[in-house]
Amino acid sequence: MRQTQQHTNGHNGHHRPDILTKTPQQVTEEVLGGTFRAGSRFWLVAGVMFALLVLGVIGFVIRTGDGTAERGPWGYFGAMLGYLLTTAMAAPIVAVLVRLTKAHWGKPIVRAAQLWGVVGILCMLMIIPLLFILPSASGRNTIWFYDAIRTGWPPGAPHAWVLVSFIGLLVLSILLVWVDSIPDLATARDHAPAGARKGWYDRLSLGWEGTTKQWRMHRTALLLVSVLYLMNFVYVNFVYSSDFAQSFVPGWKDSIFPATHTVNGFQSALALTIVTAFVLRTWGGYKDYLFTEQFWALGKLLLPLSVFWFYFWFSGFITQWYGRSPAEHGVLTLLYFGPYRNIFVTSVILNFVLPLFLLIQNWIRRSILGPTVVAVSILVGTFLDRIRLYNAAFSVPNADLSHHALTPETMPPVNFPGGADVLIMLGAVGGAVFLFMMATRFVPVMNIWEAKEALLLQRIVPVLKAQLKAIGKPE
Amino acid sequence: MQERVPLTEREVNRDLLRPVFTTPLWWWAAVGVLSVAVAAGLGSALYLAINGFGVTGYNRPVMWAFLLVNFVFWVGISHAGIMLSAILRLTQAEWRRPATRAAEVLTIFSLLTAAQMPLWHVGRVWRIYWVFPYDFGRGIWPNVRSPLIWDPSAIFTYLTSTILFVYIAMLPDIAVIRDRATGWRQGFYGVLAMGWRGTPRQWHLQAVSGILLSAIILPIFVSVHSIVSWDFGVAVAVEGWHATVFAPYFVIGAVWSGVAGVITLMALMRWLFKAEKYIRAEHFDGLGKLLSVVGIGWWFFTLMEIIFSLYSKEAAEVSFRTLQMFTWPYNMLFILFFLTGFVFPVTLFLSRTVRHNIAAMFWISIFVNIGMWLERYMIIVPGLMRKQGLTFTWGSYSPGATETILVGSTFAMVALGLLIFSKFFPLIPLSDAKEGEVLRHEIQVGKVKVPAIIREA
Repeated sequence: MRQTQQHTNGHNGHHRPDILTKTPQQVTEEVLGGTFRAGSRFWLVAGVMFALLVLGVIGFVIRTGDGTAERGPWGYFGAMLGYLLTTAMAAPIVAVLVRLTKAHWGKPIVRAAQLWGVVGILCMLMIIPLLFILPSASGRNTIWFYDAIRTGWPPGAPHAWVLVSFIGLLVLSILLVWVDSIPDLATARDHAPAGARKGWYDRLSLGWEGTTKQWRMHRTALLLVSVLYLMNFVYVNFVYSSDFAQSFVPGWKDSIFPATHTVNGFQSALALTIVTAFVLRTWGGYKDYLFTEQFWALGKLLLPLSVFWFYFWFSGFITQWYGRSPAEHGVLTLLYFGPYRNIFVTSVILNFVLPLFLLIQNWIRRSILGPTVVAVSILVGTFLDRIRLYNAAFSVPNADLSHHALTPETMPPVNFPGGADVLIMLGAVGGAVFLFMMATRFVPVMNIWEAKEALLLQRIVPVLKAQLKAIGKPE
Repeated sequence: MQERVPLTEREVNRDLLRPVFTTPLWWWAAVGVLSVAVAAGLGSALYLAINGFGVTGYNRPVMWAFLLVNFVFWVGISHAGIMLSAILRLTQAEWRRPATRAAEVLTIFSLLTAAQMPLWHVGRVWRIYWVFPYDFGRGIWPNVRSPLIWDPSAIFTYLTSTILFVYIAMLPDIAVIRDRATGWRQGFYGVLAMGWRGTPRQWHLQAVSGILLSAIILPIFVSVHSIVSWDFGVAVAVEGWHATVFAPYFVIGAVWSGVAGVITLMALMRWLFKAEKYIRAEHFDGLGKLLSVVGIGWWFFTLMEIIFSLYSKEAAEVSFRTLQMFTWPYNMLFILFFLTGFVFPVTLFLSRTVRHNIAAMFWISIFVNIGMWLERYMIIVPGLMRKQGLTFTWGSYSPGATETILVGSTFAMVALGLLIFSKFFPLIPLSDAKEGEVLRHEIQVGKVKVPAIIREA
């Protein structure tokens, strides 16, 4: 990593900064070549992921045998949906934020981040069984109301509103990929061999010819869908974390928790994007597109978000710790000091301690391997954290929901995973990776139009004895 | 970008040092008026200290009111300054250049103003030393578990680091003034410049220390307003205060009001110091975009606070919210807070036309701070009115003349501090303005020349 740092040390070492040096033609050929054709290694990995997905389906079928009367057995299933929400479905947020802030370094990673949105299909399928175990708004703390005529308020709450949020997430994630990739789909249409693939590109590119009007509309539509996706992502996290975790634990009243869940999502989104960029660079053939700059910039963002992980947790914790009411005492015991203490400590190390001490050092941030190692740590930490939160919440029996607080007598024990739970966990991860891989077969994983834009707007210029990068800002 | 005018170093020096070396008539008039206002405030404070809290409108159980509302408000304003400066430096945002110094100095004066509010609020000012753990003789130690004791440590740490941050960033500018000053001023600036000659080693050290201080100051800035929020949040006795979201909610609220304060200040600087070439519409555009995101984020936290206070449908919480949102006069104040603190500013900041209209930005930024002052009032006063379960203690609060004058004078105090500062140091950093000129570039794209920025790293 030190070598990498020295090599790309920019003006200090009088080295030339990394910049895309292809011709537009080369970009088109290389990216579309990677999209149209995949090697045996790709199909081997995709096959393994598909097998895991099948195992997950088997695990799900076994789980349905337990019925939906009690939530306990569904803890790992709920946790995996929570995990996918805060990783795969959060990844497009990286693309949204890169776009909104016009961060020039982000151009090569936005499409890969957006493509994780196809995991919305899996999330949509997973929320359906969970709706059957979600109790009505009656007799428990909930963000919804239960009115005099004994129905949830707003009408259909909570089930209809949970469903709406997930439908919104799926539709917007697909829309985000589609709107963004229209110019690339048109390029693929013009280069694909005749056949079904070309026909699909033709239909989906909506007659794109790259006129000024089309570009203007594209920019507006992309901005609109990006903002809508961000808003819906926050809403989904609010609803899911409140309805499927907080409201299942008597006395857990935590106004910061939805925000914590969302911020954890931003952190994991960056982590997943870094790992994806590493894979694409190392095995995907995009070494000339992804440089240290992308990992460095993402690492810089990952550092404050790792600190935020601790800050948001601590802000909630200290308020409850000082309150020390029976309800708060019960919640603290369940989530931090009782059955899930070890898993909590591990996630603190993986999500906060390790990232902080590694990323605080610039030579680690300014490398490819450093941020990737931290990203893996965060993805594992978030996995454990979701297991802790959702299992702890799901394992409170229905009969205790109306209580004001958990007591030592009603404190549920650790819910260790059974065989079906292991299959479900493998299936969720495998399914998500499989969907992503399949999406890259159709939509270019490297953004062609933005790569070409970078070719136009980035130059290496001499400044005194140094070679620096100049970035055009036409807006 | 396109509004930018190329400037030489000589022009930058001449324009930005003019307020330091010349004193227009309006400056004396403003200083005079503000001094009278500050004197009135100090008079009120003295009157309060001598006669006690009976002269205010404080009434059981509302014993935290105007003074602490104002404390939270000014701590909030102080946040944006340094946050803006540190984050924008770290992210190399090009539009930061004219805003950083004003933002940092606003932090210092608003912190100094905020710090005096608890001083008057304790009533017996002469016993303020009780918050410091040195009184071995009495054997009484401050309760270190109380956030009220963390407050002074956090605020003084923040103040010290901010002064250091401003000073280090200002070194090159001080040296420029030293080289142009005569008489006692030359000696004064000579001492302050610490032998700055602009050697590569000095620039390197200055840049490294700036980055380090930026990175160190950011956690401090977050901790300060978090601790202020815990003054309220860890109290279980007051419905509406004991909310886990309070820390980030206060921090983002502080950023919201503080950056708005920076906009107010920048507009005034542009008009008063005729800094049109340096403070341009594009800077207001950047700040407006930032604020529209911050404003929406702040509103999300506000919603979380309200939604989760009703989450458990406890009678006490419901009645507190009924008082705060639906009972006269708080309903009127709540609507005013909602409109000025969120609806108008966020809606207007989303418009590019508005963001480029400096007069509009000035007035909107003032609206934001009216809303944010009211927000703190709505948290503290109705919250305390519901503190006791027994109805005979449900007193109300009407601000008296003493604390109203005192609070009003704090605005004059900050303005006076800034005006006096501008007489000694440039409010727009010379070195940053010159660096911006060096890093300007143009790229040829087809037949068009596109403005470009050379990245520093």
